[in-house]
Amino acid sequence: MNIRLRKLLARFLLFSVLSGLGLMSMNLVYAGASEVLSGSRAASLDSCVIPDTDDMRRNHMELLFHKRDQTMRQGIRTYGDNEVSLNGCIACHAAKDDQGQYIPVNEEGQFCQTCHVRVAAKLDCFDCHRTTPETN
Amino acid sequence: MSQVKVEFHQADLSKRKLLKAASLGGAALAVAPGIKLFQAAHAKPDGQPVTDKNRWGLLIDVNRCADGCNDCVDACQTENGWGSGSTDEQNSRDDQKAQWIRKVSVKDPQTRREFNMPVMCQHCENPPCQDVCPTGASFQREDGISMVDRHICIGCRYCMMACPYKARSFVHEALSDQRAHQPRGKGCVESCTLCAHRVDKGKIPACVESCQHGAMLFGDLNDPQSPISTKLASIPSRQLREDLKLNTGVRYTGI
Repeated sequence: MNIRLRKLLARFLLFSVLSGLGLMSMNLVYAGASEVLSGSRAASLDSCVIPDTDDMRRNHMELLFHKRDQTMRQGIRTYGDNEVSLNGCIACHAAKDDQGQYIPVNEEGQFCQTCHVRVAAKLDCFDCHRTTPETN
Repeated sequence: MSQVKVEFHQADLSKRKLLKAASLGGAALAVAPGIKLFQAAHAKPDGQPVTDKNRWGLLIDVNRCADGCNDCVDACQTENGWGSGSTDEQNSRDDQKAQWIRKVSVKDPQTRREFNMPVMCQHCENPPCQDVCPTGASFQREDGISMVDRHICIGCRYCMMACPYKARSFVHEALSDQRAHQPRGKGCVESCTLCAHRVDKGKIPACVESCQHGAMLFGDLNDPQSPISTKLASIPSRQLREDLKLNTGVRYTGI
């Protein structure tokens, strides 16, 4: 009886230590990777339009959903730099290549794609939406 | 873009109607000579939703619409990023490519009168596209502008079949050269938005702005004082296929 109990306890301890390590490492990976790319306008700014980066990471899709219906159905367009909009995200976060040309945000290693590959969430937005800031 | 020749019988006008229309057009010219069709839109306040206080519409003077002029179509292409305004759709046939607005040439074989007119989404009050849409993607804004919600469009193309004006197009291939304000993509139907993105900022549609002949007037049909309303009140105008009782937002004078 004592031995079985000890075994159980040991397994539980091992499990909790391992899973704890796993979660910690995930957190480290998550916090360590910076999706803000050098060369993008965002890199030169102190914070995003939503200053809480974690909040933005978790909830940007909600913001975009809300905004899309407002824009399309109600005609509420964004005007300033500090308003939330998909075009605003792209304008700020698109990086440039060696030739000074914008790189699409849905390309491998770019702002949107980096996380979306990691979490295996397909990026449908850019089936229709432009992937680089408009220069003209 | 290619012009479409529409034969008399294909335009769904009986001889009697066309002759009647032609005579009305003549009267319109006499009533209002030399009036420039132009009006700035009233900007709604930033951040406010559109309301049914406005109903946006167009008045197109067929007598001023010049033969061979394609300015409105070109302006639409540049503004909305289709046709010559885009590097996309290289693999589609001409009849598959997007066509938001087209110049239509009409000839009456009896009188041999020929005239041109731009035809785009007529922004009906009772839009057949919306009736047949199985997902609610074809919708109408409060201010009367008909649009496609690409987020829920499944590309069934019922609306293309239902539209009496051939106003809608289907995108057959993946695109990458869209305008930032005008998302477009494979598998969705699209059409004239009456330049809603411009109207929301108090500007007039690109086609109206580009017309050098003053053949297009944009304005608020609900405001009896607006230039388009006063004009409609003073001269004869027609809807295309008015027998369908769609109450179109786009009206024509001179046909």
